[in-house]
Amino acid sequence: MTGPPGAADARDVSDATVVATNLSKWFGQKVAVSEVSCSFGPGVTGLLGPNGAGKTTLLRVLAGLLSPSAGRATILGRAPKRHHGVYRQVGFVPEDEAVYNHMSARRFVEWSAALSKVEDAGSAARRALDTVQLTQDADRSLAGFSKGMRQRAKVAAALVHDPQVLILDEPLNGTDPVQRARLIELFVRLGGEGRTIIVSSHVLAEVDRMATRVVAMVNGRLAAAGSVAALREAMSDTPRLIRIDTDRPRRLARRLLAGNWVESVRVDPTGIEIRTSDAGALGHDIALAAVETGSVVTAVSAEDDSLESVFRYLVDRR
Amino acid sequence: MRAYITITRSVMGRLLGLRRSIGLFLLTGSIAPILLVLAPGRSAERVAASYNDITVGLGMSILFPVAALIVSTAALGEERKSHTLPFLLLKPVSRWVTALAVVTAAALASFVILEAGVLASWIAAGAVTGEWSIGISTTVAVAVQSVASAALFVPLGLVLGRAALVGLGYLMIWELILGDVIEGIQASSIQRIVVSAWADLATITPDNLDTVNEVLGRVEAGVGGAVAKVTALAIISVAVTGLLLRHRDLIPE
Repeated sequence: MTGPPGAADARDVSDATVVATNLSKWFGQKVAVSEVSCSFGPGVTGLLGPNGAGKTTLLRVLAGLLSPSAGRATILGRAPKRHHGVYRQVGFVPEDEAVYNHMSARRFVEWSAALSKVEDAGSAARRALDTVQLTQDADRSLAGFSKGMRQRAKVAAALVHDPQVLILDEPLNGTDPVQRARLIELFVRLGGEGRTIIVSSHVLAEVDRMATRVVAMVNGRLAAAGSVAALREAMSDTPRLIRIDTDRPRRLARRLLAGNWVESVRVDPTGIEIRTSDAGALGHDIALAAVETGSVVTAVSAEDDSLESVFRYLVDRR
Repeated sequence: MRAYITITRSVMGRLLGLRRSIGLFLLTGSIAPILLVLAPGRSAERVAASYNDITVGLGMSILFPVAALIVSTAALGEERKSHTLPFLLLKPVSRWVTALAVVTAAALASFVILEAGVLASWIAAGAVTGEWSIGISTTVAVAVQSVASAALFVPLGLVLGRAALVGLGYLMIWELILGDVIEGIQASSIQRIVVSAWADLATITPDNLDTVNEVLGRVEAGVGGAVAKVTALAIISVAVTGLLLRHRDLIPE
């Protein structure tokens, strides 16, 4: 991994279930994934990157749909391309919208359960369809489903055999806001149960809401890994925007400007926005400055501590 | 066994979709109306001879192979194109079982579609001639055709985006043109294997001999030999399909 964000060991987790080791995948002259080494463990990990970053290719290699051109991918210690038994513990939701249009949702999920060697496929399918709230439409043909409903049917089929590892490629595509919130809640719950959930998305807000850990890809390479806050912290060479809500913004701003870590200040009637190169030093100075100036500080927040800013930073670096 | 049956049933269900089935039935069933048009004013023997001629000259040369080709290339080709292969393949099922199930499904679906056409012409010929065993040999022939086409075109559908077009080229160039002029390749020609099975069981009238001999060339009629050849072809096909599923990238870039 190159670049500062995320310590080198943030690429790996101690209790890894899915591991990519120097993984590369190219199609002819086009390199889709280049020397990616990282691992995924229990909890929800967001795989982030702009369109064309290599997320889908990485997930397909990890899942065993594509052979790595170089390197190695394992799930639960086995290469899925060779050891198909591992799929008993793996659920996969592909990015493509396609489903089996000749099947009903119930038939599709039951079929998936039967192939995953679930004893009582009917009951398992009922539970999975209920989980994604498709019970009422279960007997309708998938051909008549909206994109969001198809996504939920695919999630149900991936969940039906109660897998330990779930690989989800843009699973929220096409879902309405209510369903999106419910699926996010579901993924968070499943991650909380100790399952490995890998969710790719290019919508940062979604990942921000469900993932405890982020792996970011840019141009086929691993750009960063770690928690959102840790990534942001690691980018110490980029200024951060801090907002301070106070009753005396001008006095406090004048005092804080004395510190050489402040790059710029914007004052408004209810507070100050400070761009700083050293958020830690500023944090220590705020309390002192408040006492010295007699200001009452009601809130201090990092305005750009979001995936959006992290991601923009990563893309700009490349 | 459960996985084999589950995959076979689902692939068959997809291959026997209503639109495809109706379209291909119109193709394979077209012998029946031709026969009914030719029948008036002819003796039962002449109608039986016409049935044999049309079945071999049109059915086994063009209609049945093309219909079976379309069904067989779609077995994995459609899944590949529509990106549904992950649903089938990311399961704890051996690739060999998957390959065997898909080849079986393609052969059964082809047989259902071909036999529907055969039944139509069988009923038409039986009604006119009173000879109701006339379609048995054709039924055996389309069974051989179905297995042979599935064996040949299921793996082709997995590998090539335009497998149906390539398969059509194969049927026209290799089977119909080169098979006629190069005697050395006749023994391995699917069309001739199918006709050899049919010719062994059918009641061939002297009027049919020219047509049958022209198609068979140097190949001897024999249902046993035909079954042995397509069985070997099917085993090779399952092995090749299994290897492709194991080692190839299963989804396009």
